[in-house]
Amino acid sequence: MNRGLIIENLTYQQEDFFLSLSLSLEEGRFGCLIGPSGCGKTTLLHLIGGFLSSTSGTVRLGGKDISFLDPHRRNLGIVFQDYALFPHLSVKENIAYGLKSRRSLSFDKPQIQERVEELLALVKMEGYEDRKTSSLSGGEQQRIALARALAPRPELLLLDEPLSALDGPLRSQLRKEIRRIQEELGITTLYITHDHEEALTLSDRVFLMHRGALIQEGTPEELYQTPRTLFAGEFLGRSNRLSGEVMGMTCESVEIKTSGGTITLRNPGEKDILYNRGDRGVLFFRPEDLQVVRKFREDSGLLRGEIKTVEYYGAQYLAEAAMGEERVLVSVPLGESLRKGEEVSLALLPHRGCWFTGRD
Amino acid sequence: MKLSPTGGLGAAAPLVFLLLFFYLPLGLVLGEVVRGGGSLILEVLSQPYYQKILRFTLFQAGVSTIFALMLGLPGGYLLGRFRFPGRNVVKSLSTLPFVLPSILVVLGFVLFFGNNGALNRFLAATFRTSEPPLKILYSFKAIILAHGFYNFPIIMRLTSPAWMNLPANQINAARSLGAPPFRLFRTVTLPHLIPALLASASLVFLFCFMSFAIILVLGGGPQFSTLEVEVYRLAKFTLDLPAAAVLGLTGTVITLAFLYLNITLEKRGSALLNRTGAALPLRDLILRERGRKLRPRGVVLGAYLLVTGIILLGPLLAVVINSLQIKTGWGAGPEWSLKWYVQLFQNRSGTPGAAGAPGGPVSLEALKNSLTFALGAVALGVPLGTILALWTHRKEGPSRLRRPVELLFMLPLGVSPVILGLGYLKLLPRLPESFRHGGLLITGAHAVIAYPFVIRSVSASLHRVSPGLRRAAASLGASPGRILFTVDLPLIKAGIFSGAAFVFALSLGEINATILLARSGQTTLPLAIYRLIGAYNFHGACALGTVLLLLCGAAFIIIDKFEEALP
Repeated sequence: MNRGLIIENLTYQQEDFFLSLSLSLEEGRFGCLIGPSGCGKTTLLHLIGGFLSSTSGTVRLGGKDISFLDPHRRNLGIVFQDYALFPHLSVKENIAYGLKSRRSLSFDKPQIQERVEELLALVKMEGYEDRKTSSLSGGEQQRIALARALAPRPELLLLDEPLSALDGPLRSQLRKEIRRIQEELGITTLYITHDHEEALTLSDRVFLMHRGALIQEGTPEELYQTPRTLFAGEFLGRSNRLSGEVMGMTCESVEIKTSGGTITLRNPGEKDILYNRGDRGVLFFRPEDLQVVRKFREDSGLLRGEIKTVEYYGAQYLAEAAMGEERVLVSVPLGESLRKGEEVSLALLPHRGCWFTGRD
Repeated sequence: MKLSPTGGLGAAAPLVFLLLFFYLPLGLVLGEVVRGGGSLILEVLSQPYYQKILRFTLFQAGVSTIFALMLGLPGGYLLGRFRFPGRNVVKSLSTLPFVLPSILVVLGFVLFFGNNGALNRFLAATFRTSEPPLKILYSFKAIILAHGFYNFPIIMRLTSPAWMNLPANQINAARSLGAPPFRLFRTVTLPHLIPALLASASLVFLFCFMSFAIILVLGGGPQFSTLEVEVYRLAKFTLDLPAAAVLGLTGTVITLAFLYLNITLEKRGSALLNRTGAALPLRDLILRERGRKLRPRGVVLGAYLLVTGIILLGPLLAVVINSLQIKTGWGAGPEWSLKWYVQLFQNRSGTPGAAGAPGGPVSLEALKNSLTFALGAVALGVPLGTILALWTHRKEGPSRLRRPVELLFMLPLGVSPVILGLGYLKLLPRLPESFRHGGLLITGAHAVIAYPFVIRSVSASLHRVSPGLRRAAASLGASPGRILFTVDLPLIKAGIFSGAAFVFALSLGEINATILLARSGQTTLPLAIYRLIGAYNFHGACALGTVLLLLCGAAFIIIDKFEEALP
């Protein structure tokens, strides 16, 4: 039986916003809840935390139904977006706050001191016990907030966009730290973010939310490479869409006609998609799914386009190729040199690309 | 948000208190009018005498407000736009009118601006005239000047945040679009200032409309009576309670309208302040340029500071100095002495005080009474205001009930103390014997009058407690009670202290309701001072006034220490 987080048919309604979803995260796993702003991520966090009451459904944690418990009776550790450190308490008092609050823990003074030191070591902030929280930098506050949330050994760690207030290098450093600590403690963790890079690099499982519903979940690779909707695909990174029409199919490939030429989609991922000749739809693929073919061949399975812009990204170029009215992004390795106005052929790598017929 | 048990209980206790000490007495006044019916209202309001009083009340409040605006607006500009040495002191002093007892203003005014006052003596000596150059006491002029001098710091204080938060980006945008200075002022600066300007003006109008001691003493007689003073005269001397009730309610309708206006404008003003983004930075106030040429703006504003400083502090200084001086004989200069203090607090047997003046133990008793009422008002008003501020801030309870209930809490701000006192007078005979002790009612009245200031200061500090902190505490296992004691209360401590100091100072200086309710043996410091002024024992009044000033000064220092500092 799953002793992690199980959310079943949870619904919540407020004015014109409606949330309804089921979700389950196994014990010890790191899950990322991702979605655009306004999709209901924070509402879901408040429902799990007990700050909002759901209309129906259950939230289970460690096998217990916690749906009707007051926030302070749910054994959760939460790291808030603005850290919410208590400004009138020292670092040590902040970390000890949860230890003193939970009567079930019944820590005595030396035990509290010991636990505080343990956590300061865990987040690499030894010697900060007596500092005022207002004297800490953003990154330091973040670490203390994490230590405070972990101190009472919660069953679930919730992180609400914890890195959104920090900048570049510090973000990726703290991201690694969070994952290291999570693995060290083996604590079930739900991490909320709108940043696809964070979701893909951090998590065991990604939950993608849109308009109050869970639209896809899976490993980062599954979500990135085989999105189930156009929205999912486009939300998780740079992508292309080309409108097209199904020309013909065999049992292991489909021929699709686009403005850049007719292309063969080999082993189209989803088995349950039915292709019919004459279907119109959208071909979805990522810039790195394409490869520039130097030798021009009048061959099926290649797209043709004219290079319009080339941007330098350090590790690669990103070129934009025009195909009729449409534009396609291509990632080009550094060795290649492309010039504006050049006509190129582009091959779609095997097993890449998805076909969507419906509207989103 | 669920309705927590503390939320329900928290609203119930203050409501019961307010019902007993505010709504019941007010209801009795209203009942008196309703019983009399339309004929009573018509009879009172159709009398030319009362019509004249109503007109005069509005007129003097309007003129006083305009005068206070003229004096205070430059100060708001100065405080909001410039850095200068002593800026913090000026900022602190602008809170003074909220805590300064009006009887001290009256006393200081007489001593400073009176025919034989400090200013006249100075002018007479300078221009060698034998007649006092300024004759302003006991006239319309005196009322307007005293109101203006007393209230202009309020204008200064309430408009300076708007000046301080002028939207830098909008101003820069307007400039880069080619707006000349006047157009810039008219299109960007002025619209930004107007809510704060009107809010402060409506508050001063409210204060001047409800002003009591200044009219009573400085007006010098029935030709300059206002609604407040007339209600007092009717209730205390003529014993025409129905007429007093009609006049009182008429005044209440007007003051409530202005309170509503003030609250609306203040909300709009603070919404404006929150929206503007980066503020225009402060400039240094420069008197002289490097080439030793005087800068006109610097000189004008510097002179303004000097003059308003003298206006505000001169009278208070005159009170202290007069309390320490005795005249040894005609022509001889004054001598320093503690004689007046000794006389005030000495046992009466032996030194008969000046005619009718409360000497000896009466002064001691007044001090004791004042402190008792003030501490009682703090004990009642501070928990009341704090609970109400928490309740309003947390937005607990069913949302449909919240706004009307909030309104019920704020209503006492717009009802004048004299009307409240009138209500208590009507309540008195209906109370059981053991409750008729006036002290309880005076304490209750002071608490009702002052607790909105607790709500104000606690609310201001509550704004720093983000709801996220409470959620964080709950997620760490803290029960609602523990959250209240470990998160909310420590963070709003400053607001509670400054609120308590407000209640203490307001209760010490309160005279409007006290004068109606106090029985013999319940004299307070302001009442004793009022009687000493009436007996022309100015030195005695000054000595007692200095005691009151010191007590209020202590409260003022506490407020200044804890008050949410203007950035």
